[in-house]
Amino acid sequence: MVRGKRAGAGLVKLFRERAEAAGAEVRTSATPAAARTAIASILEELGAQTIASAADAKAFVPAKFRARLVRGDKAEDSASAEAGLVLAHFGIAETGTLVHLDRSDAGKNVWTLPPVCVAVLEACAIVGRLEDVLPAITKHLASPSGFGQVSLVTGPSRTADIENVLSIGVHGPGRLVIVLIDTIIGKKA
Amino acid sequence: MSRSRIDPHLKSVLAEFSRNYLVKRRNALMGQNFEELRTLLAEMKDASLERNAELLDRFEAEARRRGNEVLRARDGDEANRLIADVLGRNGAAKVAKSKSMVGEETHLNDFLSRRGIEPRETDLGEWIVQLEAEAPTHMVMPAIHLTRADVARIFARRLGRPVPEEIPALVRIAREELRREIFTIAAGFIGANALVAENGAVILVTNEGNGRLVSTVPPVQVVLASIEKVVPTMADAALLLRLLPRNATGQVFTSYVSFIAGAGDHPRTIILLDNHRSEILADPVFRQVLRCIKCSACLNVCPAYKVLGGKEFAHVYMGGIGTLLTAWVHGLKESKAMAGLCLGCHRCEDYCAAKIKIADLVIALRERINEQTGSPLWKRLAFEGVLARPPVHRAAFRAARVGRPLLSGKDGYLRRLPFPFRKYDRFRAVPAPAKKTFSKLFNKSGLGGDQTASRGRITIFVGCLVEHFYPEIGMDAARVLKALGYGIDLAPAACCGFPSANGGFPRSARKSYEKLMEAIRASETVVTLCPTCTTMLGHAGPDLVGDEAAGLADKIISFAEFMERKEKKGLARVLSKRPEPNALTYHESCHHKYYLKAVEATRSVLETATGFKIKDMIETATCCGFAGSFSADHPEVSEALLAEKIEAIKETGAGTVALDCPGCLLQIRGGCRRQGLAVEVRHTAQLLAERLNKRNS
Ligand code: SF4
Repeated sequence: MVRGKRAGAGLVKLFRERAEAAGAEVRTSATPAAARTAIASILEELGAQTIASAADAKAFVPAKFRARLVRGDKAEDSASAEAGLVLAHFGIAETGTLVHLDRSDAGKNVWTLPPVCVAVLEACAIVGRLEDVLPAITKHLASPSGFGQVSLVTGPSRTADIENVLSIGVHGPGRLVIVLIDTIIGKKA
Repeated sequence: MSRSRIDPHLKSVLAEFSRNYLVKRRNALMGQNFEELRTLLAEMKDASLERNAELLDRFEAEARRRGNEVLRARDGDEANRLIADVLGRNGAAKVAKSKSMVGEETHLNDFLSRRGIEPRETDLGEWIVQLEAEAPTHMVMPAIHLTRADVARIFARRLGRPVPEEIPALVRIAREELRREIFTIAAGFIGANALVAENGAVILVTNEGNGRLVSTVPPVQVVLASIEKVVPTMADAALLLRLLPRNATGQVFTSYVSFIAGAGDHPRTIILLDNHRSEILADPVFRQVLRCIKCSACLNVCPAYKVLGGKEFAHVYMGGIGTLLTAWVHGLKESKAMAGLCLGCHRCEDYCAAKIKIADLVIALRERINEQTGSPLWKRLAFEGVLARPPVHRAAFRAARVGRPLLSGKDGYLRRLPFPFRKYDRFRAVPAPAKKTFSKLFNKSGLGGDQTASRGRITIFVGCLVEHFYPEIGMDAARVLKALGYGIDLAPAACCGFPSANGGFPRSARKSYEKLMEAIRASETVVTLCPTCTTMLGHAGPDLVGDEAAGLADKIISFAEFMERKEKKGLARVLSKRPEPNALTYHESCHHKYYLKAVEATRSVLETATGFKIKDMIETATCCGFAGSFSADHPEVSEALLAEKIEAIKETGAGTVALDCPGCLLQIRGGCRRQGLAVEVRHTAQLLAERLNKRNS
């Protein structure tokens, strides 16, 4: 996980507002362990039988869902899972965007194919603007030997192609739930 | 034309779409300095275009280093062939496509189908129009011309079962159908919103997520991008991304933005298409067309597009910018009809993310079209034979005045036109020429005699419409100026050259312009009553003849701006503040607003004179449909725009409409008359003159 300077409370608040404005749901947890509990209850609410998880988010799979994990490296598997669990490397406050430095197509698919996407984000990885994460993005894209792709995800999949009426969840997930690990809140609590 | 070109349902959908867009865009741009950002974007794109060849080479090298294949295509056919070859080589019988306007440009789908490869559009709107065997009618919203009922019918035909006419159900079907197919499709095809030279990244922006599916699931990957998409660095791409979603759909950011530099797990072929863009690059006048980032903002605010939609006002690309692109990528001939549909209102230029002078360039394009494909005889006669020759011009109006009793009723309007011409006047009463010209009235009035004027001398240029149809506006302006203490000289009653310039006849435009300028060169200040003439004399004319005349621009000023800048105090002295009896609304004339940026001056002057706030109509800055010869070329569009304007006026309940342009006055007053609407339509000069206090009037 990439660690930056701790994001100020203002940035975290702005991120939350903007992500919600884009149609994402944001749940805050104080610690990684609390995040796992929160994820477990989200998956239970969904009644999820199978979940897909990207390699970098494995640590956040709640114990009781470990057995229900499908292998994310086949696209069809991700598509058949009821939820995808992913880890965002950065958050961009200004737009409520999640940034993922991709390492495989399979990892990208976990974000896109299941009907619900649950994304873990550490508050300390929130920056103000896209320009602030450009060095990290550029570095990731620079290496000719790496996978060399980056995804920015803002809210769920959407379309307004029929009569300009907004509909959610057309080809990607209909729900994007962001589990925000905010240790500042943790200390206060 | 037998069939109406205007689909009333589509017109109302587009009107609502445009209104929603403006609200969303305003919110999305909150906290951003749009002017500053788009200036940066325009500069960045210009600098990128300057070194386009070098950047493409760099992009190619970097993309190759990361495992991609990069190919160049000279034209659409070559691009199609290369794509079909890649697909064929990999045994792909079907290709999943994400939206690509460049793919539309090359007619890729037809080409692939002929080669036995099935293209499968995945963007919801694109898929709908594909199933209906139509073309997209908007760059961002391809199926905006279809209703949910249409879509249900189209899907039902595809699925062979009834489909509910509900949007969520329709969206679900689109999802399920693509999911059913995507895992069996061997190849994915995407366009690119930008290419980054420093790392070979393709940037893909989609809301639906179809771009992500298409670019990750199928094992064979193809990208088609036109050469102007390349920018030097990631920072440049970030600037583009700051503007694109906000200006395109009024979103702060798009749902999915992918940077695809490495080939990842799949072989990827990137095709760079020229298709005459090198020629645009080499053209100093038109080069800025390639700054376009395809945000569609220009379409969303285009009055003609709003009425006609993207079936009528399109070849493949739509609207004003589409006209310009079409002229190169599909040919000058194909762009001809489109070029005629630009109202020349310049509204798009205020919204363009890349600061492209779209309307100015369309005028420049008309010139090339006339030169290279010929122009109708009547237009050549009108512009070169009449307008450019003041004696002929005057004689024509003299003849019309002589015939006046035959042509017009007592009310000063022409009699209704007979059948084949009815479309020109059924929506708008056309005034007969005035009994006496403004020059004649003025010279007889003694208003010009004062040689000892306290505020010095001023020249007034009223323009053709005031000279021949509305001399009372000129007289009112003169009375106000005189009351303020000016001695008044008349500019000659000649055409400023705008109609010719606008029609693509620069030679006769230059002739008219230079002749007029010669006559007013010695004047210190020239006050004008028509924003279009002002645009010509102060901006377009100097551009036409080159720089030496540019210095004259400063002395030419619209009546409203003159009052606002020089005579705010003077007006307070000579006017008695009085409200309009039934409230006042204000129509912002296109050249006054988008070219002269003078509507705030008028507002301030009017509010000073009436002591009241103007009651705004919706879309006050949308064209009334007159647009000079446009209303004769496209009466049905003119009629539709006027109908909307009058609706907006009615909604305010105001008894008076103020405006600054005699052309808008002709259109709106004539329209109100046809509808029997008791609304006064007045030029700003008239509203001021009516308030001159006794001593001064
Ligand atoms: S011309 Fe300007 S407004 Fe129109 S699509 Fe291009 S960038 Fe956007």
